[in-house]
Amino acid sequence: MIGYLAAVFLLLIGLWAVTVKHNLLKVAIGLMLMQYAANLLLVALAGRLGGREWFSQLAALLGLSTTIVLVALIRRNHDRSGTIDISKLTKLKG
Amino acid sequence: MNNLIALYVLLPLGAALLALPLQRLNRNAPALLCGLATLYLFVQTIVLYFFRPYNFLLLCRWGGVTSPFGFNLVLDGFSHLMLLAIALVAFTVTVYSFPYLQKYAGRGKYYTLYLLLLAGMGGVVLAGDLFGLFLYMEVAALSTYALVAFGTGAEGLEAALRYLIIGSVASLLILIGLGLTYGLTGTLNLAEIARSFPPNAAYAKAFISVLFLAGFGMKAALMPFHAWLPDAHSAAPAPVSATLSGVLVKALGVYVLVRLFYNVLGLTPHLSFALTLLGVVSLLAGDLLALTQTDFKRLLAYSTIGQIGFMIVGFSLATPLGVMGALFHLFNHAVFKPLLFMNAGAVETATGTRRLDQLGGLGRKMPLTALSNLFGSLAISGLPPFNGFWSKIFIIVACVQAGRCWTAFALVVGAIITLANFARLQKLAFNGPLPERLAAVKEAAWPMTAAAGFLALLCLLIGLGFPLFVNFVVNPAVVALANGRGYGQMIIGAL
Repeated sequence: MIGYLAAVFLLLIGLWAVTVKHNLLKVAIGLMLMQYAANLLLVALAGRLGGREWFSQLAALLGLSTTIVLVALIRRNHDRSGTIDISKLTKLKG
Repeated sequence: MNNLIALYVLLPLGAALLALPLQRLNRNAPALLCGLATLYLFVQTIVLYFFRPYNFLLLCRWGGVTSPFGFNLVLDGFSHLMLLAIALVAFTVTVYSFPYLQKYAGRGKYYTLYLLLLAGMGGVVLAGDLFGLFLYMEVAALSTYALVAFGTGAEGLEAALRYLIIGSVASLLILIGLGLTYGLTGTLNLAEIARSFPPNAAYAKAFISVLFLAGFGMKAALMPFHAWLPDAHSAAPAPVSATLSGVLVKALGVYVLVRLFYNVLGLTPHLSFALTLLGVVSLLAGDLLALTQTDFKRLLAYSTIGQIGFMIVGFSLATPLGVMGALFHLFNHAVFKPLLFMNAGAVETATGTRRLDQLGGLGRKMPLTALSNLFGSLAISGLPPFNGFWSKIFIIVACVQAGRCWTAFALVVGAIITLANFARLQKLAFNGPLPERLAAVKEAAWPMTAAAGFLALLCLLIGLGFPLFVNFVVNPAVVALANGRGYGQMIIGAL
């Protein structure tokens, strides 16, 4: 039960960071927290069903890869535009 | 024969690993390697149509590992149709890319990422289990984020950032849905999920359906999850835009949604209504927003949202004619939208701008591009005898047959707005007076016009020979979807 509650808690904090924060690094941390929440859910479910958790490890690895690409893009963007504030990225209209 | 389908993942993956080392030997080697790999896959996809009996599955198990954790690949009529679209777009885009990418540095990296994208899309379409599907989807998505930012211009980086953030949230929703499905059924194999959902878990199943609808809806850029698409598709290099718009949003979004709701979870009346609503809103809003665009590629990107809406409405009807029309439109869109993006890239390369208010009269300077663009515009606008006419008319008639006359009316309105969009595009870019600064413009390089010309010719040929095409390519996909959750029984029987 603790695993599920921790997953929901992490998910909510991550969602808050992704939707409210303007700093791209904080958004990246929020996304990471949401990934941890999803992985924790997978581990908890796999443990309950007596299954192997290798797919949650693989999912964590994929999440980490996404985060690395995100941080690389944030850095490139900072080099180009001098900001990591998402509200100041206005080249595109959305 | 069964093991051949593993090549849709292994061949591009192997070629991706070789592309960078080969570039040190010859700078054009990655392009040649990508061209050969995509040509082989295109030919294999066509040849498999002659050897895969109607409504027959091809299965391939990775290393003999079995469910609930094993990866297996399944080729049925629906996945075959998607593979044909992917292989066609990949091959033509690779031919087009050869001269187009001359202005970019690091072409070896581009081809590596592009081949990884192909491996990911092939895996998503063939995956027989939910986790394998997620894994391949992430491989494709990661490659796409990097490809959108490939030019490393400010626009590309910003678009890639937005796309990555929205794409990651979508992936998380899907991963949570996947975890809950596993918790309820104890398996991740699509065939076994289809038959092992507990009958007393209707609310949990509805919640999982909502998670998948939101997650894959974001990947398919359905309204209101569309925000990333116009930026990503307009900022990416033209061959990437052609692939994203032509097949990626369909393979990662529409295909998986339809597969899950038809063959695994089941399409309930509520879901059907939600899909119709999302489809109609996407169609009308996407096409209306396209009308206001002055950027060639942004206009095409918004139009993609509209056309995805058209398909989703067809699928939501769950009638044989509706599904047939939607599948046919899905394939047709994979022919004419890459063609239009290729022309946008050719115009940008020749003139240095994508702004429609700075273009005009290019028909005299770029006659082949203008002609292929006219074919693409007529096809997407749904004018006879082009392919888009038949798929649109099938979906509209299916709506009327299903008693959804208001939906049919909305589709007709959407089709008229599309026609207005592309008449405007053709007029602003290719007709009218030629601005003085464009006097020295020349026709695009021959591989670019050849790739676009091939797709333009296909628009006409598929339109003229539609009964043959529908019978040979589309109907096996309709049968696979009409089988509903019997799909699971077929796979388990074949295993």
